[in-house]
Amino acid sequence: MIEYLHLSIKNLTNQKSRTFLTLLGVIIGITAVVAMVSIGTGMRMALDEQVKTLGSDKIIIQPKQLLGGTSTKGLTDADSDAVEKIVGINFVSPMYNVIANVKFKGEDKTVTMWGLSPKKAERTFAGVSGFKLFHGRWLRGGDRGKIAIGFGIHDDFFDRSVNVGNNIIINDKRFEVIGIFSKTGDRDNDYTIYADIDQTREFLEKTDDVSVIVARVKEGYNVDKVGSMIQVVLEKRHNENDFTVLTPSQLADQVGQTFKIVQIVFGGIAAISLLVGGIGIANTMIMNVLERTQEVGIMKAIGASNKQVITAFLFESGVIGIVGGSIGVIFGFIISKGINLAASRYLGEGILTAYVSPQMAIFAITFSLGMGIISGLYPAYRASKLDPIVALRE
Amino acid sequence: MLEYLKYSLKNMAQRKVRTFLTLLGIVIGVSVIVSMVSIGDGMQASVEQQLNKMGGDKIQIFSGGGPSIVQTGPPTEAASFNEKELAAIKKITGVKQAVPEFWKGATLDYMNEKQEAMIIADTTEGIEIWRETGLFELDKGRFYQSSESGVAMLGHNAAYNLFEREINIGNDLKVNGKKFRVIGILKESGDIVADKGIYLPISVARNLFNTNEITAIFVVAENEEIVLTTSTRIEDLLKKLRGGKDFEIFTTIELAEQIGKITMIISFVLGGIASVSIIVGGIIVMNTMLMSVIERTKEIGIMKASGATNQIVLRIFLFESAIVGFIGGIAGIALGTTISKLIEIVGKEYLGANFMTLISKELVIGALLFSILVGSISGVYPAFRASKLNPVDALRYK
Repeated sequence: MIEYLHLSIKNLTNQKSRTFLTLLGVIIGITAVVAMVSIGTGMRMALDEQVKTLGSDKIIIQPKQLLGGTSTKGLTDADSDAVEKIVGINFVSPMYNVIANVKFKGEDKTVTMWGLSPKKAERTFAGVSGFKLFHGRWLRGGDRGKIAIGFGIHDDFFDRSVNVGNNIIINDKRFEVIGIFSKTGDRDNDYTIYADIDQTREFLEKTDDVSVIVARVKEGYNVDKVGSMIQVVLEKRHNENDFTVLTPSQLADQVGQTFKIVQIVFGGIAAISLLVGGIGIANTMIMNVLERTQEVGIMKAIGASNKQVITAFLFESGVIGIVGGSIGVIFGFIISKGINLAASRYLGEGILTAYVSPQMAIFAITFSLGMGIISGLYPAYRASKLDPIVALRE
Repeated sequence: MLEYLKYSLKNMAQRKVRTFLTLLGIVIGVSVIVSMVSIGDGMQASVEQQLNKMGGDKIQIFSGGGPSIVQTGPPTEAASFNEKELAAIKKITGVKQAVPEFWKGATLDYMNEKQEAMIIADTTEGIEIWRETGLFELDKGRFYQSSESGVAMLGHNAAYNLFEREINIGNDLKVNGKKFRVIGILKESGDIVADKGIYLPISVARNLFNTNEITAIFVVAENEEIVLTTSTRIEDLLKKLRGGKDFEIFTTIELAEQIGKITMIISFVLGGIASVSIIVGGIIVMNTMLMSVIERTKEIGIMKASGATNQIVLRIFLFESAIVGFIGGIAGIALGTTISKLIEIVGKEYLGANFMTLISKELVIGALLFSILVGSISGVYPAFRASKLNPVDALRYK
């Protein structure tokens, strides 16, 4: 074993530039694959993180969204109440979210405004890390003309920062800021205005419409089971399945599926360069066999079996594979760090993340080793089939 | 020149397996680039085709709840448009026609099978405008009149693929519980939403939901030259009426530009990742050429002894690697074209009839030049090494 390794390394170092180039091919291939796949892995982890922030005990119910974004009939307060009565549900928070036109000190902007029932929201989101006030107070039931704002609205949404006590004109009505939330790092939360649900409904002349219901499951209950219970209850009320019930695991599955496809496509295209790298190994090994014809002849003349000759050459191509793979993983890791750095600087926090998992690293090295051995098969076979007499005469 | 070529080909033919593997690296690299870029280019061409049909004089305005290109975040509601806003738009200079549209998701029930589909509701005037674009053609039956009720037209897929059983002219189906007779079935337009839609007169659709909402407004400008200024005027007016910009407004040209940007990024990213393989292919070329130089050391010695200058030797080896790039490039383009066609067939099946791939002249020429460039660059170092060989040592080499 050690002898084979010794022989391989000696032979490979004998042909420095050739070995270097062959390795380079494998390294580039593995680096590309690792970097590409790391993006998908990173996105999935970021998603899991998000699910965790919201808490794994929350179920989201919304009207079915058709392609293009227009929804079906919709949900109402009565649906929300019905969900609240289901066994296993602790609290529910109905919301009515609108796109609002906001004016502050002469500046006109558009922002998403969440209409919530203050008490219900407080109970449902208690303990959620994003639901923490930085300044002021949270809304109270029936608070008219009052809003709480996300950190981004306070900080840099307008040219001037918005503070507790300031007034903002929303859809031509005056609202007073009474609370500011702490920074969450999530754009959807940081650039949002919160108001009483009836206030947002008034903008669109609705009375009991709900655009999304968040339900919190009691401790000890199976979230997915409660989720299917909600499905059954609402389907009975609506006579049809015109809504979606998303449990944390479903949410993760759904979005995770998309990332997986991205991962497969990008990883797949990158893997083609690895295939080319394998061809490079085969090419190099064939040259090596050719050059060492006489050597093989001597090996055989002094009693080496065909199997031993094959092993010697396979070992050599395997070494290229494993060394190239390991270096490739390191480069891939460095590139994924670079992606993270560049993405957080140019695209903003949490939009694009890359992560090289230990499994991915091990898989890449194993794969590279396997590819090296497979690429070496034909050359090694050719070497083993050399006639020692002819080979010695070369 | 011809002599160089003959000499290169002879050398390559002598080492068949090695030449084959070297070429294979380049072929795979080029074919991946060609097929990947052809996806992005095809998307671009497909969108342009659609938008060309639509005509440069059109402006589309969507309320927040209407169709958007990308949707993120939690669901939001937005005020739809009203008749007053529509009337105001009609009065703007440069606006030839402005028609209201109503879009809403609904449940269709055909022979007790329920499916979701989008109601797309127009006026007769709106239908006339859409018909002129050629994106709205009848396969069977007839168009509805604004005044009719209880009748519907179906998109191609809504009629033929959505339900277990095909729907035909004269069949009845229920929309949110109310009965409608199918009077027309449209030809496939390639748009996923439109092909799966159900088309009702706008008054009927609004009655169904007991609303007066207008989801989108479709505007025809007087001519293409003034479309952008007209669009700005509409935007300013709506902003004033609504107190802010809670809607989306696109001219066909702007839409084309936006989508063009997205498809360019797709081409760029896919092509970029694909380029990695040709770089690896180039490394193989370099390796093979280095080996060639070593093997032919004696030959080079003889060449130099018989008067060949360094430059001639350099040119011979550079030529050989460029030839590898050229042949590999041609074969790669052929393979890439085949792969691209296969992707198109699969894509049409899963992503709709509008999916296409496109292999442009620029792509073919670009890929070939790139491949020759990669071959030549990979040959520079080996050729340089060959040219620098000392003839005396080279002749002595075994």
